[in-house]
Amino acid sequence: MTDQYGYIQVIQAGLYTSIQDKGRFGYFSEGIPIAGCMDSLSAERANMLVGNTNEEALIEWSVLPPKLKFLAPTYIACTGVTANIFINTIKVDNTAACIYIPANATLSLKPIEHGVYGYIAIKGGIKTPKVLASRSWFSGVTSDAVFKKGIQIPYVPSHKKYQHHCKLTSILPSKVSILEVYRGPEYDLLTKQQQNKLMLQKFSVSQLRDRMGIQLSETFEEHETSILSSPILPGTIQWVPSGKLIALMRNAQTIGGYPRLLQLTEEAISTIAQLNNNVSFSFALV
Amino acid sequence: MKLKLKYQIYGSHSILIIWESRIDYDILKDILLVKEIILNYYSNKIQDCTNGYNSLLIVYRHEVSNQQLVFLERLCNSRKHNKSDIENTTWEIPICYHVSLGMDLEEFANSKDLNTDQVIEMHSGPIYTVYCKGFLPGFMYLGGLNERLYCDRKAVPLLQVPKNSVAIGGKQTGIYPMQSPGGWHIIGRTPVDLFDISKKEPSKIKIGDRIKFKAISLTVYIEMDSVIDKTKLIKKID
Repeated sequence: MTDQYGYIQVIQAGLYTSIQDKGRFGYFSEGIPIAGCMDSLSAERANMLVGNTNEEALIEWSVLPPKLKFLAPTYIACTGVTANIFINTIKVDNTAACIYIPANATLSLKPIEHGVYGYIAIKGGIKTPKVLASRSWFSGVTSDAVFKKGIQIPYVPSHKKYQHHCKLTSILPSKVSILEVYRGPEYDLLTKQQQNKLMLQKFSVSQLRDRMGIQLSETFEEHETSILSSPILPGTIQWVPSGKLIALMRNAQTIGGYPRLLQLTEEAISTIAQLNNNVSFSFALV
Repeated sequence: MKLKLKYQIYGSHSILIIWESRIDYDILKDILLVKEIILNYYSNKIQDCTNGYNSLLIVYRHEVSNQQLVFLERLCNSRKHNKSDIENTTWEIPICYHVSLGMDLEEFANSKDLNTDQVIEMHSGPIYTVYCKGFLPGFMYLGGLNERLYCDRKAVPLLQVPKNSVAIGGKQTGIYPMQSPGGWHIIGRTPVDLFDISKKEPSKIKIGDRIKFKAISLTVYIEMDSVIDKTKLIKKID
């Protein structure tokens, strides 16, 4: 059998670069986190630009982009963090466009401004193996957790001229002031006064952030309330005893013992994933 | 007597059912019964269904509404109180409590005014129940720890708890199926693999199953550790 795949050769790995799709569903009761793209909205846009369904897996990078060599021709789209795009050191169109990549071309990105996570979609999607019905990389489930220099990533080459009709302009919301939330299971543990305070207080994200969760910088209120270990979801705002709030993200564990005060909407999860720590916001109930 | 449940919408796609807040085998039986009813009734409408000690999370494929909440409540209320025990298997897991593997054992025993043999006896004595799974793939939340062994978590968590460490934290004991940060006191290690992604069922122990720990020597541990398929070292017992 001849190899039908083209390969991406990783020249520079970037920071926490990985393969992600919509996530791994149906294994929550086995303790396996959902994983999937941190900013699912940007990922969806990248897939849309190259004509993929939003089921396809793509490359997610964080802050420091990878440098990639494409051994076979294809079309790509970059979304998320706004960046200048270089093909063989020649600057091409900016983010949010469908770009042709000839065989053996090298892709590099230079982030310009705000944002944390970038996405690179490839026409036809990434073809790394599915494990438990998903291609999302997660340590202990998939054999790789992050990109390493020299690894090869399979995809199906696109030789044919592809007519794309998608062009997106605005990529990330630059001015965020409100994150929409639902009441969490333990919201009612708060007094009326605390509930009001939670909605009025300004918050920002701290440096303590990864694919598991994002701790907010500001302290809400110290407390000693714990609950019996109970299921948690990506987007849940947990209240830890020190008074800090933690937004659980895609790789969050499946069960936790801290009060679950709020639940971010799907859009708010994507928004908070991209927030820089100089942006302040408040919560608003849907 | 029928247990009283609370129903809550959690996010846009989930409903959380909450039982009274205690670790109780009767509650677990009721949770598993409700889970079975829901999975049978909704099977293809549900993406994930998972439980805690006193709660059950149902993640739907579509957005949930108040109407659905009412319907779910009616469905759950139709259940008959089940007197018979839940189907379960008892498993034996070998544990080596040698100080070279249980780095906190001596300090832990001292803090409890016990010697290490007493800790080992108290820890390997009971039959534990698997109440839920989560935290890490293959991690089991167990009920049944001897009260004498209850112990606050470490003030500063260890960044890298070795894979397969057996530990005590709060009123719980458990095994870390993979290397992870953790704040529990490490008292031993098992040579078995609780999670193997190459298997059709990556973890074969089910919620509701029983666990018995068996103390083994360092020599036996080293012998078992060289076995290729270490999921087979978990033995069914009667």
